[in-house]
Amino acid sequence: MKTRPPLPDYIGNDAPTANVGSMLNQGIDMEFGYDRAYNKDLSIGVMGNLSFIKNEVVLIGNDAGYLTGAGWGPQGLEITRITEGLPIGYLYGYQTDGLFQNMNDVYSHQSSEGDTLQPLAKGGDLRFVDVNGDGKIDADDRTMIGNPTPDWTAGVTLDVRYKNWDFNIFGQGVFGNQIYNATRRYDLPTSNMAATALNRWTGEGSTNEHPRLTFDDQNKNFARSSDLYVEDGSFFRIKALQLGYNLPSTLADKIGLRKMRIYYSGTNVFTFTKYSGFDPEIGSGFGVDRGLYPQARVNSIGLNITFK
Amino acid sequence: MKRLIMKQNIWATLSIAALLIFGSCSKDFLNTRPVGRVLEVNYYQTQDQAFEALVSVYDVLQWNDQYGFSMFRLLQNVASDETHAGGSDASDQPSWVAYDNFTLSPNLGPQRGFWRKCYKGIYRANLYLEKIEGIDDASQSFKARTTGEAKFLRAKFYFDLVRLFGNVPYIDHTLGASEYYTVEQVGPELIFPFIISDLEDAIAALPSSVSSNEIGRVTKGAAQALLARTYLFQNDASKMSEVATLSEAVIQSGEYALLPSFGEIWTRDGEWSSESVFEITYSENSSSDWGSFGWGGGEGNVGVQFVGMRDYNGPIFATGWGFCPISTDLESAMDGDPRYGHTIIDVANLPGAEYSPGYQNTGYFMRKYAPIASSVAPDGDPALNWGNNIREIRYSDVLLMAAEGLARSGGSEGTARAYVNQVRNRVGLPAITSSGSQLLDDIYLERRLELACEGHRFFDLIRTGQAASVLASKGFNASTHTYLPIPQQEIDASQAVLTQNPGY
Repeated sequence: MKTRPPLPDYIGNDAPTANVGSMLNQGIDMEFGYDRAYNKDLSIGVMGNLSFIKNEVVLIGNDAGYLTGAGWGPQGLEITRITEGLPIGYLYGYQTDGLFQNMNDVYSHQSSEGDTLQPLAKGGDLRFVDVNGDGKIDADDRTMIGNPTPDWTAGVTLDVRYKNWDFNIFGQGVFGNQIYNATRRYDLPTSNMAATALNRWTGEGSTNEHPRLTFDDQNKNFARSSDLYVEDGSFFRIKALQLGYNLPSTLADKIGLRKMRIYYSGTNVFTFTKYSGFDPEIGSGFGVDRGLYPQARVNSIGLNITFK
Repeated sequence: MKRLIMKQNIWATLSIAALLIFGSCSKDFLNTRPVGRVLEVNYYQTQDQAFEALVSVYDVLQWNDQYGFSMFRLLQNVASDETHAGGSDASDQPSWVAYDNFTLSPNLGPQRGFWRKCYKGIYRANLYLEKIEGIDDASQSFKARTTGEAKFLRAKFYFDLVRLFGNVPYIDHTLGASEYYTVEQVGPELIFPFIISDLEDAIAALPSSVSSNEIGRVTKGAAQALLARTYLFQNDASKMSEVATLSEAVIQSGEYALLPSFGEIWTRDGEWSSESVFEITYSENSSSDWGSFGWGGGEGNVGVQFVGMRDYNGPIFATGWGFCPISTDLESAMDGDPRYGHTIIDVANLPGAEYSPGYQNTGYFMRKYAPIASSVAPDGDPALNWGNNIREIRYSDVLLMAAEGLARSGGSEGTARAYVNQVRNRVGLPAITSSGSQLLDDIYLERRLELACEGHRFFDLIRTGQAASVLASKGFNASTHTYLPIPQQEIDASQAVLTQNPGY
């Protein structure tokens, strides 16, 4: 596993890429194909592939047993990590368990000794989980809150020809991964927000998902890396689709042409996903969506003419 | 026909056999130097390459983007009593707010950016000094001068480090992997001699002026002034005559003069004027965007964007982000001073001006480096492409250092007063006539007003021991906050070579 290990800055130069650990990928790759011409009018071809992978970092060659991963925002909030025994570059932060609906909820969120775990919280704030059970919510409670590597990766192509028509479709998708939605300034309460903020907590029972909005975020609802920012990254997308029609040669001949084809072609035509960001194919970033410009959907209509 | 083919085959076989027998691969053949890629091993051959490497050392001076926004001078304003942190709200730049309120901790504050920037510069200077001797293509005069420049820059980075952190590792060569965790953190008393020796070498090697196509390169005067500043900062009475001697050498060189108009210093035409002993140069022409941010990629000065008024609409200025609102302390200290209008923007008295008050708003903003609407960069993100140079060492600062050096070393008070009065006379203020401790107080006041918001005040307060009283209301505690905390990440990564500064 090659990466740049963190070095002290006083050295003044970046570390060379080093072999810092090893990881294990286990899985299955499957591919299937079907191709048949039924008669002179109809032929069908289908190609598909499906992969299942399980990734685990086996060894990190330093004393800490982990490497710091991606940072977010001017404060460099740590949002991913590489740790022995866990998937590479897993999403890292606090685990939450819904929202406090009222002060009663706040007071009843206690350690085993009966101390209120989040004394500064109010209704509408996130309930953080005391993962290590030490009776306080602090940086040591940060844990794995998502895995950027999909369990399943799939692609399928379908090719149909019927008389003068041809149809081709290509779809691909990934399943079982999570995306860290780092597309806004978490540290500025006045910065622009996604429309989901309209469904924020506004009073007891209004929602258990989106925390209240306040200028005085004592509970650090937004300033902590947590599963609030983590979403299901599964998607299936029709990447390419083409439908064409060839004018019968007798007809083409009649209008003085050798060949004529009309077609529609589309890229990124449909996407099936629950991810709320611009594009579940987040570009570079390995599970962290930094709001790169999304891929365009292109619809084009074309005409191919061959003159005599 | 068959014979012929046979014959050809025989020759082909023989040639292949010969190749195998005699042409076995030599080591040189396997170890090719990569072409088309610049690497440390195939660089440093020509004088032009040496010059490019020298530019890379200078380049670090202008970096404002290490681990977030790390403008050295603006952050000194924030730490002093001149400006607050500001911004949109308290959570805009937490590290700036922590420096403003002295709620610094090993994990919070501007320390990490300063640390990284200085050591990057030091690494590049060390690398240059190691390579330059071996470049046969470079002339002796080129080597001598650029060695002086690299030493000046290394001294500048260490001077910043030692003022900020006190106890830092002194590294005078590029570290090999076996040395990474063998460095030693030492106190200022061990680092100052290295800074002084580098600057003395630089003074001996540097030219007293540069030609117009070399604007931006350091001169003998800049090295003398920086050395004077170094002695001054040590606050050692026995060094004050050195301060006077060095500053007067700059004055007597005849290379520098005050501009007739104080306001002109801060215009774009006033850059590298006769009053500039040294500037950190920026450019509006690098079309930087946020992809250039974080690794010293751009050439613009984002600090200018920082100090502009938020959502500004009105004459003269461009909009900014509302940082460094000027304290009412400084505003009232400058009341009636002819330099007020060139130092402070009083928005309430600016007809037709509208803006959004941000965090810690006072209604007073920095004028010297304010974003001017007519200077908005043509390309790239305007916020990242302001071309305003930082006036690092001004001639008026040198005059005031000379005056202080004389006044504190038992030199001529008349000459000291004359230097101060040159500064005052330029803006039409009456001459001072004081002597003794009153003269020293007058010099300190003149420094405060003349150099307001240029990032000198904090270190002036520290070196003269006034910080404890002047900054007490901001939470300053001299036993802790004289120095920044060593970045926690550095301590963690150093394998326990580094220890934390006291109090953190």
